[in-house]
Amino acid sequence: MPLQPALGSRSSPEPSRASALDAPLVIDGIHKRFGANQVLKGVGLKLDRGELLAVLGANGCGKSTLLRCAIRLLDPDAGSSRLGGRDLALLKGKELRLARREAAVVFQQIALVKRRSALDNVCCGALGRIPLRRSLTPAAFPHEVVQRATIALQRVGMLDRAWQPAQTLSGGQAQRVAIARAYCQQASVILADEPVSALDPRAAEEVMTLLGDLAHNDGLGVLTVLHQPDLALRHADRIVGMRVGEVVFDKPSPEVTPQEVDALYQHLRET
Amino acid sequence: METPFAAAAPGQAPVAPALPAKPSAGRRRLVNLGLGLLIAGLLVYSWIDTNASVSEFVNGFFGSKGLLRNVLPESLPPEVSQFWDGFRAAATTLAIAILSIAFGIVGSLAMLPLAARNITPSRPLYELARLIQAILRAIPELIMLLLFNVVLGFSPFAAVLALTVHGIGVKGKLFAEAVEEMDTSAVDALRVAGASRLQVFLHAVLPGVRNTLTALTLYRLDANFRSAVTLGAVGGGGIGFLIDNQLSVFQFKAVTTYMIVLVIVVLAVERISTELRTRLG
Ligand SMILES: Nc1ncnc2c1ncn2[C@@H]1O[C@H](COP(=O)(O)OP(=O)(O)OP(=O)(O)O)[C@@H](O)[C@H]1O
Ligand SMILES: [Mg+2]
Repeated sequence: MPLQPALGSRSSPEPSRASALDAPLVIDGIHKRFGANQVLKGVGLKLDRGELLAVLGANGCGKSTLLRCAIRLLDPDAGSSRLGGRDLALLKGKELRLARREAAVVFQQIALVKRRSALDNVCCGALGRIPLRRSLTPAAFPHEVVQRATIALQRVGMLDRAWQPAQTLSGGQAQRVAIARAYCQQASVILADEPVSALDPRAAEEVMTLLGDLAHNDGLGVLTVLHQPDLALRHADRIVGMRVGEVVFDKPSPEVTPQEVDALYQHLRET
Repeated sequence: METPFAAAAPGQAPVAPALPAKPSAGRRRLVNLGLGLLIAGLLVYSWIDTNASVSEFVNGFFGSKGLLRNVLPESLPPEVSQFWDGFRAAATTLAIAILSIAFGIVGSLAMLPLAARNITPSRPLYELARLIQAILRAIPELIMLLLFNVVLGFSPFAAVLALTVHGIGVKGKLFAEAVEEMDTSAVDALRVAGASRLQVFLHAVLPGVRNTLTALTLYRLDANFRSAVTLGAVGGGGIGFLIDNQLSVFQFKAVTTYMIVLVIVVLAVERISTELRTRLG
């Protein structure tokens, strides 16, 4: 297993701050309100290539909303999100769909297509890049896509289960296939919302290692929402702490203190 | 939400607390009374409007010209020589049912991307698709056949079209509801990966509901077969047509034969459809 981070290392506290234009995902001043509920109050963060960033925060503090605003599955009330150098707020329709391909999303619940093989599911990650006539059935997928999917499956250690129907995979296996699908998408950014919440500790450890590997070896920017501070502290290069719609800290994981982490979950008891 | 958890007092048996006051039952009772009166009224109206009569019921079954004493003896034994003709005609009826199901599937699938609320590209298109289906469903197959008879004349194909059109109304709705009930996490996943609507439909929606749609279709097969028999009697051909013909010339023994064939085929179709559905799991 590769241990040496290729890019953006844990030891340097300010990983290439100068290259703000170069960062694949830059979120700035996002506000979002649902009715009277001001969920995001000006959240900003930057995700670099080769970096595993963890977002911590209590239930309902707005982490999922932030991810959805970042790729404009939700329209923020204010603020901007630049993905691959393009301001998503300025795009719509097909342009938005194509720009979004730069971000691959991994969900908490296993979002694989049932009754389709692991391989077919991974190939589907590339749908946004292949024309309709080459995607009418899995048999029509271009050779390069199948090859890339095979590489992706090998990458997540699931090559021997390529033909297994998705619904028969265990939670950990399925999540790894979902990550392979994200890899097959050839995005520069992976956004994962609680990718390990449904997994046992060992599978969670494997998935986190895999996400770190994709950041450090493939140079992807990986942002993951977590509810396990210990996993964040051990695997992430940087941690963003959120509390009721605001970023309260954003620093390299070695500098995050247990008190700071505890404080994220404290307000629950006070309100 | 407002009530705090009540901690159990250590070492004491729990005492049942007073229940909150039950909402008054008076209104409920009034509603029930009203409903009861309404149903009674409907029954009386229906009895009068259909000229229902106890004596006619008794006569129809047990009178000297009734089914049991007049028609039944004439109908037995069944005309054995007619079995083969019966099966041939039943095969035509089955063909009508199968073809109309096949056309109906194509039509329902074509409408599906619009007709399911969770994947439709626009709300007005969804409403329109569902409205069309509701209208097709509302017109009974028999009326549909009479319309097709006007333009195509009497033929089994007119029956196929009548069943197809009505079936699109029925299956279209069932299919759309199956999609609306499916777990859409995979659909969302492909959508955010940049797949187009049609790609998402082909790769996530259809595989997700395929088994449900197959089960619904098999379930509709025996219903369609029975409808095809009925349509046959008004010129659609098949076994319904034979039964109608023989009845009009009082050949009750042949009719008995066809009835037996009919029951055998319906039960067989039902059995096969159930068997296949359980196989689907
Ligand atoms: N579509 C919506 N409509 C109304 N309110 C919403 C909607 N989506 C989220 N919210 C509210 O926004 C707040 C933040 O929700 P969000 O899902 O972002 O929290 P979270 O930090 O991801 O929480 P969790 O850790 O439980 O996943 C919650 O109070 C939630 O009720
Ligand atoms: Mg969430």
